[in-house]
Amino acid sequence: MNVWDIGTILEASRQFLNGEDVYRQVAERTYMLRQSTGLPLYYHGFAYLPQALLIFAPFYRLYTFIFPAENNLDLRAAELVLPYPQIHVFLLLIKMPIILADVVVIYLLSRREPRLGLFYALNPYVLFITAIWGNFDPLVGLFLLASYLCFHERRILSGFLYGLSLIKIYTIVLLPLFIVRSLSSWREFAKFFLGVSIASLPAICYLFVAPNSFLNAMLFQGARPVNGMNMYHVASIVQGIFFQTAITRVAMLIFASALLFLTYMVLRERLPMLNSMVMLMLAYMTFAPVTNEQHLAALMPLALLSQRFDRKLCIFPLLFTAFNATYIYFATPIFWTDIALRNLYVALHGAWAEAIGPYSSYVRYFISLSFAFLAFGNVHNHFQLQMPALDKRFPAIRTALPTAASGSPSYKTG
Amino acid sequence: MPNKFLAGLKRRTLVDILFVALIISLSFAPLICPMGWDGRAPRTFVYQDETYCVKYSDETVSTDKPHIFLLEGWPIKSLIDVVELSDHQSFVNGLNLYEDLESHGRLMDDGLTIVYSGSSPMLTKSITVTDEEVIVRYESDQPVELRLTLWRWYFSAVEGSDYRGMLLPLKVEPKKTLNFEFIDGGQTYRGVVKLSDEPLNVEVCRDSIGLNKIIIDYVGSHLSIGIALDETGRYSFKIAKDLLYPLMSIFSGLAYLGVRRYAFMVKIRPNRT
Repeated sequence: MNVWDIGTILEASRQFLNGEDVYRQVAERTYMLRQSTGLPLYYHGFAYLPQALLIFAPFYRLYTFIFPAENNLDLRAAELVLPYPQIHVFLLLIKMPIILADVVVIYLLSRREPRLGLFYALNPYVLFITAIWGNFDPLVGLFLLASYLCFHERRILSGFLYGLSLIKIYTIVLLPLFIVRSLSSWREFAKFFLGVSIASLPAICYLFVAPNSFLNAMLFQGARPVNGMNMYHVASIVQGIFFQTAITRVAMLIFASALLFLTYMVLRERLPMLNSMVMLMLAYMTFAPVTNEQHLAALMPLALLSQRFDRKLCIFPLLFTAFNATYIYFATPIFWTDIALRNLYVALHGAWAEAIGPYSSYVRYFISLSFAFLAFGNVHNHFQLQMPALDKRFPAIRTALPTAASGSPSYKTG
Repeated sequence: MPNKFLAGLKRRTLVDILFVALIISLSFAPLICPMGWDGRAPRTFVYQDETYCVKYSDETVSTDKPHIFLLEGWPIKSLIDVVELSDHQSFVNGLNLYEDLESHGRLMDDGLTIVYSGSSPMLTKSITVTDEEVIVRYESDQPVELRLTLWRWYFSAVEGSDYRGMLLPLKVEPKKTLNFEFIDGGQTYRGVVKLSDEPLNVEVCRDSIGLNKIIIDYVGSHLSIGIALDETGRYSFKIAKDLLYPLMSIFSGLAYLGVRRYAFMVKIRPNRT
């Protein structure tokens, strides 16, 4: 399991069910970190929209019903101790929303093309993110996919689903697209806005109840230092947080400029909705200061519908985790059941670290570069309109690419 | 139509080139040496200037507190290991600084200050860097017994001797200055440890390969250790490992541009159905 992220959901669910402000602890710990070190550090706690708690907290409550006593799990302890069988039951329950989301995605994709559903069901990257690590980006992927599929027929539902996808705030990059495409009539726009508003009610509540801590936590998402599997990965190798912060400012400028430009181009060229969504999300993953391995999982369902998405992209996050993630993320909970197993895993990991340790930063950078170039190239591909062949040696191009009767691309299909 | 297409193609190529240029620019970040103190995590700090690099509690080795490096080389400076003050084998009143005490570091105006809690009396360590030396100060509100260890793998000599074949313990005359030497990359470096007070006892230790440890015993409430090197700023041609990042980005960028340019004409990717 991804110990830190699952621990974040666990802690936040517990606080939420106890009636505590989940964001206050994040703000307080960030303040304490800064005061005690003199560094502009952030505490990486629960920094998602509160809709996520409404999804996961019930499953945590179910866990406490099954284990009314001896249900304490501390996934942030320096020395991790995992009680069995509680940890297995807890992990199954807390991953249940994500697993169910994958099932629905498979169903929705299979309805359009059975091979797409099969590809998604058996994709190692999807299985890794959902079943092994337990990140909830596939849940975001379901919301985006469903929002797109019902955008033209059920505007309110589409808005509601898009509002839910904002539990990972990075889908905000699609908001201008949805708004402009909804402006075909004021009625349609109002419907979409209503759906988003309904989904955002928990966030609106927090804005009234605990605005400072809530906004502080959201601000963290926009101010995180550069990190992850992207072209800025090399900056995480530099020595200190002050310098990384300076690079982050540059990265934010690049990111904002790129997204604004691409959004403008998408809207001006009136590209198909699917292509536009996939392209903007890919652009986010290319230019954003922070691109974690699990982010692509939010795009996969939509992207698989697109004929222009390069499926090789999902290989790179898998490779990246092998050289980036701490060994606990792969060892828990199975290898923690037994001291002998744990020692074995520690030994294996030690041998792995000794073998690749001196080179791991270079390998990570190479993987990040490969992902950045491939993703950027894919953004290009989604931009390219169907056009006649440049070279007469390849006349097949003229007939292979479909065009609408008017010669312009269709808006409603990818 | 073909002219418009060609113009579009040129625009797309320009965008690709700009993207590659951006990535190559970013790849030089590790070669930039920001001056002064910085930190990476709640307990990890680093200092860098034109001469010295000081790492405190580096992620890979949590016991070096601090680990002092010399920056040297041309055209890219690389780190020369000078000496490490290890908390793992340092003691105050018999308590191990790493195992028995909690340490909290904070950047202040004049440097890094570390407070050790869990002992009585309280101990504070501060690290400052001047043009000539790195100064590590230990302060307490009461006299304490300090046993500090300075490590290097390996010293070639301490006070002019490598202590080969001598009887244990290898005692050095306790005085306020200790000269040491080490060899790195075929070059001999000479340095000095300057103490603010005369220590009670100084010993050196060696293993089968060479001298690797200087032990300083001191009783008092204030001890300042200054570590300086003679003849810094030598220029020797060294390929810094950090150059690999720009090289990788250039290679990847050229490969990307090549694929973007030639794949369109060479391989037609059929639409997936």
